[in-house]
Amino acid sequence: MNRVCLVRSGQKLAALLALSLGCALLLLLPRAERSARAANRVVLAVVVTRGSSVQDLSLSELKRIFINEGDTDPSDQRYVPFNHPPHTTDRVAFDNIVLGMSADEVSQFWIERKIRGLSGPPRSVDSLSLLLRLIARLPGAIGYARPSQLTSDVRAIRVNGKLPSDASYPLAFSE
Amino acid sequence: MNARAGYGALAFLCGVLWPSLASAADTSTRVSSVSAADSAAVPEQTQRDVAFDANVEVPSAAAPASPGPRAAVAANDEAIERPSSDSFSNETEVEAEQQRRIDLYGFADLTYTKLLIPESNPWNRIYFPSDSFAVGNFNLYLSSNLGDRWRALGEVRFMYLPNGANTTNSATGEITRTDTTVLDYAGFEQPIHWGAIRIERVWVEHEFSALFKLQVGAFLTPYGIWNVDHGSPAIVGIRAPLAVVSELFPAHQTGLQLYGNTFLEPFEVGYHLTLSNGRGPVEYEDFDDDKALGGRVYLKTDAVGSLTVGASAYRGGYYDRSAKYVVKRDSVDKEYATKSKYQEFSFGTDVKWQWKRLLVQGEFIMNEAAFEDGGRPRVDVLKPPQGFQPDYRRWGAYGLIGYRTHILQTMPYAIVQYVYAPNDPVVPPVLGGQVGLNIRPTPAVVLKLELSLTHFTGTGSTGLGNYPLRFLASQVAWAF
Repeated sequence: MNRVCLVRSGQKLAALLALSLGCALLLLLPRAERSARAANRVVLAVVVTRGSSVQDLSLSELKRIFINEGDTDPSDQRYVPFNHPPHTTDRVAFDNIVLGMSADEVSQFWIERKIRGLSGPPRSVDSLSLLLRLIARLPGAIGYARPSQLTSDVRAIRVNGKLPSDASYPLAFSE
Repeated sequence: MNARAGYGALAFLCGVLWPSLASAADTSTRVSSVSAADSAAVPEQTQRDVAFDANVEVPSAAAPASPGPRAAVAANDEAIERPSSDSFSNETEVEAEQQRRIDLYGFADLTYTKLLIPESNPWNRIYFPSDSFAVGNFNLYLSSNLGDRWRALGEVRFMYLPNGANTTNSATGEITRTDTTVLDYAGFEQPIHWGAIRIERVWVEHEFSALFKLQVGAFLTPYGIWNVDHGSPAIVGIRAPLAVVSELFPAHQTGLQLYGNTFLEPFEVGYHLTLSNGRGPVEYEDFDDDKALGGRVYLKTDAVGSLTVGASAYRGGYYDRSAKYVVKRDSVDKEYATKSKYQEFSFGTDVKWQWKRLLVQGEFIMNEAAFEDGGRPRVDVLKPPQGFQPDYRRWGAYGLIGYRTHILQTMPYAIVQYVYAPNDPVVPPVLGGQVGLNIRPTPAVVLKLELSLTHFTGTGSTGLGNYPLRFLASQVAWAF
């Protein structure tokens, strides 16, 4: 009788262990996936037209440009910022790093600003090739893209004195 | 019966709002998931990214190896990310943008107020409107980039007023309700009420540089926080603080405004200078040449959260008069009689601090008026003798604290305010407090629930200060 009980207890214990192991695996797998993804470091190059006199911008200057505070470049040319469409990975990351806001907070920020009678958000461009062409053509245009996507008409500038290839470049995130 | 109807209405409001809340919760979760790059949202986000990248001319090392999915998604580009009014899909649009374009947007709100006082309290008959659904604001903005650093903005408010507005005969106490009923000739002559449009502001602006921008037209007086925020989706509470609605500064002015800002890291320094007709009975006519001067300076820093400190001042004259035609020797002329004439000075300070999800803001506003000889009006009194309006100094202040939680972007908040306005003997000094919830299910929709407690520290000339005023208000405000 006792033996039967012991066997049953053992079976229960084994089942419990298997269940726990399964749960742990289920919990750990997404984490492992995330960790693998986190290994993909992505940088966003801030780009201007090749002939622009802009060489370096601080993050706070970049923020002012992308909240349309009317900053001008060294040649007194007013910046014309262009954005990626809302909710794309790079746009969300850029808003997060430069503006310090989530996608919802950005929307709310612009609604409140327009109600105050201030200027609206930078225009977003529907395709990357058009974005890069605009930056190349329009005086004062500024945008951002991944370094591998840049064309020969535009060039990356330094942000906080760092180039996109530098390890401590601030416009970096994990994908 | 009244109370039952009121609570029924509140229940209805909640019922109407709940589906919106529920769907908003979904949206909120999805968006925050996207920002967190959670695996659940990745497929949709990847679609957006691929659609955005679909037109890249230079092959990217990071591009997917197979063109199949990319082409398929590109075909659905429009479905994924329709070009909005804020986006470009071709270069022609950009060129058009450089020339001229009109943006239409605005906000509106619906408020329901329920008084929480015994039937014997006279505020039940006087507070207006209560136990009613009321569309308070329906404001439309027209904004246009006129090119070459010129910009224009107009904001109009559509109102049911003057229909239903009450005017009181101070001699008899008789109240007359304005009735704008007319027969609609476009239909079968059914009765309709006409309303009005109020011009909140309309101006054109030229930006010489970030430091010098000149606005010409009618504008909101740049003082404090609340007067410029003013839109119901942008402000935290349901009603503006009494110090703001009492117009210790004039809310609007017509004239010129020069403003600008500069950055002295880690500070932003800004200023506003105004030259206008000043406060007056008519927006487009200054009855004397006494122009009003005003200004504001502020200092802002993001070093410790976002902190803004400002100070504003205004000096101007007020002049109201009556007129009549008189026949003189060889022509008709006009004669004026002064109804009220005074010089006023206003001063205000404000502070706003946002640190992570915490919001703290406050304003102190003061206004003093000195009447000129012959410009002192009679005071409305219930019992004679009727005197003249004395010079006065009135002031008010409020403080607000709120914290935006992650639960449906809900912000519990509390406001404390005080107003002392001896110019109006009817209104005794007021100490008020509000506690409420400001819920943002989406960035464009705000739901508010607010309990307001008002305590008067005097009786006032009508004795209304003997009775406390308490009410519960709910509001849906939306930007479009």
